[in-house]
Amino acid sequence: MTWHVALDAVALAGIVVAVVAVLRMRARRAGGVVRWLLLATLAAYLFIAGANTVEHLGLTDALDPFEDYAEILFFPFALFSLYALWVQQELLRRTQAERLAEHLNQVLRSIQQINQLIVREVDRQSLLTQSCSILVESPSFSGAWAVLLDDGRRVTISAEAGATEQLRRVAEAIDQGRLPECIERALGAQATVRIAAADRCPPDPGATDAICSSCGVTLVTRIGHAGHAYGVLAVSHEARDPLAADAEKAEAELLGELADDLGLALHKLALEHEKEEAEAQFRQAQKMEAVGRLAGGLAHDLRNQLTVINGYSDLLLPEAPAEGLWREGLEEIRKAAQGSEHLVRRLLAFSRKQELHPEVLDVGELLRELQKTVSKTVREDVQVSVHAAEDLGRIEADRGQLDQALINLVINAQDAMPNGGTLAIEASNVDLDASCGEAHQEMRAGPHVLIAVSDTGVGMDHATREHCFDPFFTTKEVGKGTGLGLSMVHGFVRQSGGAVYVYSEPGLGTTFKLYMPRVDKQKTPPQAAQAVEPRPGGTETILVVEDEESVRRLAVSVLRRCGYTVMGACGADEAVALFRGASAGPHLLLTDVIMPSVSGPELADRLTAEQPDLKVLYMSGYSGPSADRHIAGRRPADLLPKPFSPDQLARAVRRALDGPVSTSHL
Amino acid sequence: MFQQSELVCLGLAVPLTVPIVLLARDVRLPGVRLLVAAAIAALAATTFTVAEDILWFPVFNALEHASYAAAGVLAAVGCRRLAAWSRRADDKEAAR
Repeated sequence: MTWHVALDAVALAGIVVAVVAVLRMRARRAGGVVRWLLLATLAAYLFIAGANTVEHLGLTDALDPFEDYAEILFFPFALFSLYALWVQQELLRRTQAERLAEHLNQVLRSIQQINQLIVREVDRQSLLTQSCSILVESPSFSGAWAVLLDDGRRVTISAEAGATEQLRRVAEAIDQGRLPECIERALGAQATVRIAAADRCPPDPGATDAICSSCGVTLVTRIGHAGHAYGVLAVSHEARDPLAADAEKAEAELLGELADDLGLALHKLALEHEKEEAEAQFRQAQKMEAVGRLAGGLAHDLRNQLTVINGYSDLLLPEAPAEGLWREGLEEIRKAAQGSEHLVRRLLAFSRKQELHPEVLDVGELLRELQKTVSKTVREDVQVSVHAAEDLGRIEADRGQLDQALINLVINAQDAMPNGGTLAIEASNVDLDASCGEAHQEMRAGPHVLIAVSDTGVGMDHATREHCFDPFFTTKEVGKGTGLGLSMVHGFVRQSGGAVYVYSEPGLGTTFKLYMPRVDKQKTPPQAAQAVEPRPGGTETILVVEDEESVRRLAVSVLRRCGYTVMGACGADEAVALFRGASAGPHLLLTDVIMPSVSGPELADRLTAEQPDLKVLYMSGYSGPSADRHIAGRRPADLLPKPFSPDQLARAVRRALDGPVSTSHL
Repeated sequence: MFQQSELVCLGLAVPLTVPIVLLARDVRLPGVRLLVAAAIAALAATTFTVAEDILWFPVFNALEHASYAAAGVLAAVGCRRLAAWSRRADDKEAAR
């Protein structure tokens, strides 16, 4: 019977342990009724086991009837206890559901506040910082953290609120290129990633794979829009009740929606930023266009004046005595006029109205030749380095102008390094895609040759960078710079179909990048120098039409000196009258292109209709596209750009007279 | 011979155990399943008490006592788990 007693003792001991446990139960969660019913059930069972033991020990059978009652009561008590536990559980669930609803309402209120923030906030850092603060203000979250990553997965913006110390360590780890697994998962997932306690990084900060060191993050979601991931939003909670596990799913969905809203906001801010940049570029382009137009108009008028000054100087110089005031004066006038002519050319270059003579150039060869010039030009304390890529492509540009543009950049670079430094000129092939065009209005997609001129000088601040291409803007001392050098570079590069950009920071030097369209053409062979010939003349009759009296008088005077019979008219009406009144028709019409009421080409059309063999030569202060627009369809050789010298006029007239009749007038 | 009280006990226990088992499926509190197992062990003990009066007394008597012992152990573990949960949950509630 010993083993019977032993088994009974086990039963008794178990019941005693159970009773003690129930007595230690907390009534608030388990409920008082539950405790009493469990105690009653255990008491019934204790009586059964106790009576059995007493019986087996042979002490007495008197407890048998009570054992029967206890057995009869045990199962109903057990059922009631279980029912009471079920009721208690349902009450707890209801409380939990109410708490969940309250919690989700708080999250929703946070989302609502953040959405209001999204509408008014224009700064990304502020948006994320305030969003994290709003999340932590609600009792739902103990910590919130948002981090934005660039394409190289480096942290660009990080904001946090609440439990921050550990999160800062995570941000530092990310900055070093180590992404925690939870963020990797969130960036690759569409839905919010829930992190169970077991999934978290090891708590030991010394562990080699522990990036987070118990950062406490429980939900991580991707901040993104339209397939682009900007970063992640993570939140941490206090420890959760097992019955609240259902809350996390709804909460994760809400957090995912919030992250989508933030992604949309960041996308919107990026678009706004791009729009502002595009508007700034557009305003700058408009400003340059307007100033260019002004400069072009000014240059045209100056060219007329210079034509007269140069022309009469050239006419008078051979007549002047070999020495004395007359010759010196005339030479000074001629020199000043040539200087002004140079200035006008720069103005025209800036206004993109200069006459270019594009040729196919090997940039590598050009840079090698430039290096020789530069090394002789720059100061000794400036170290020059020129490097051209081996497979460098060719470009189509005016060689003289490109040389001038590069020299201007080199001079500026030298001036920016008063204490010496390094000047680097580098050229390489680049292929610009459509995104470059979107980012920079002046840039066109396609193959380009990039010529970069860099210095290690004083650099430029934002305001100087904004205005550096403006004509007459200079940071140099009075008399040391005209402020037209960079304007000329800008105008020339744009006129050649390229783009120029400047990158500079105060104290960090400056880099100018010239993007010139690459062409797949053979290099233009160098032209042989033309021998200087005496001024040609003739006996033909020429009708000169020019609204600017001084220029007309000069042209008439020069041509008469060359032996021609010349008729001068100040406009189309007078020209037609002279043409019809003449006994014999003129051989050549020399006319200005742009005149009041009737333009030169229109006048030419009228006269050639009456005299088909009339030859035509245009002269114009405008050159390039402006003049081309007016004489479209005429041979380029028929245009004499102002200012011109008497020799140039005489040669152009002779060439026009000896050439064939322009077919456009037949 | 059968004792009348033992039959009455069995007659009450069997129909009451059915709702206990059914209800137990909906209660997910820690330790409750062990308590239900203890109740089933007690039912088994009651059944063996009746069976030992009919045949194989030593076998069913041994099973009866073993069932009582098992019920005691299961009840002890179940109650401890339930009590532990109630204390944990209570502490969290207090912290909240």
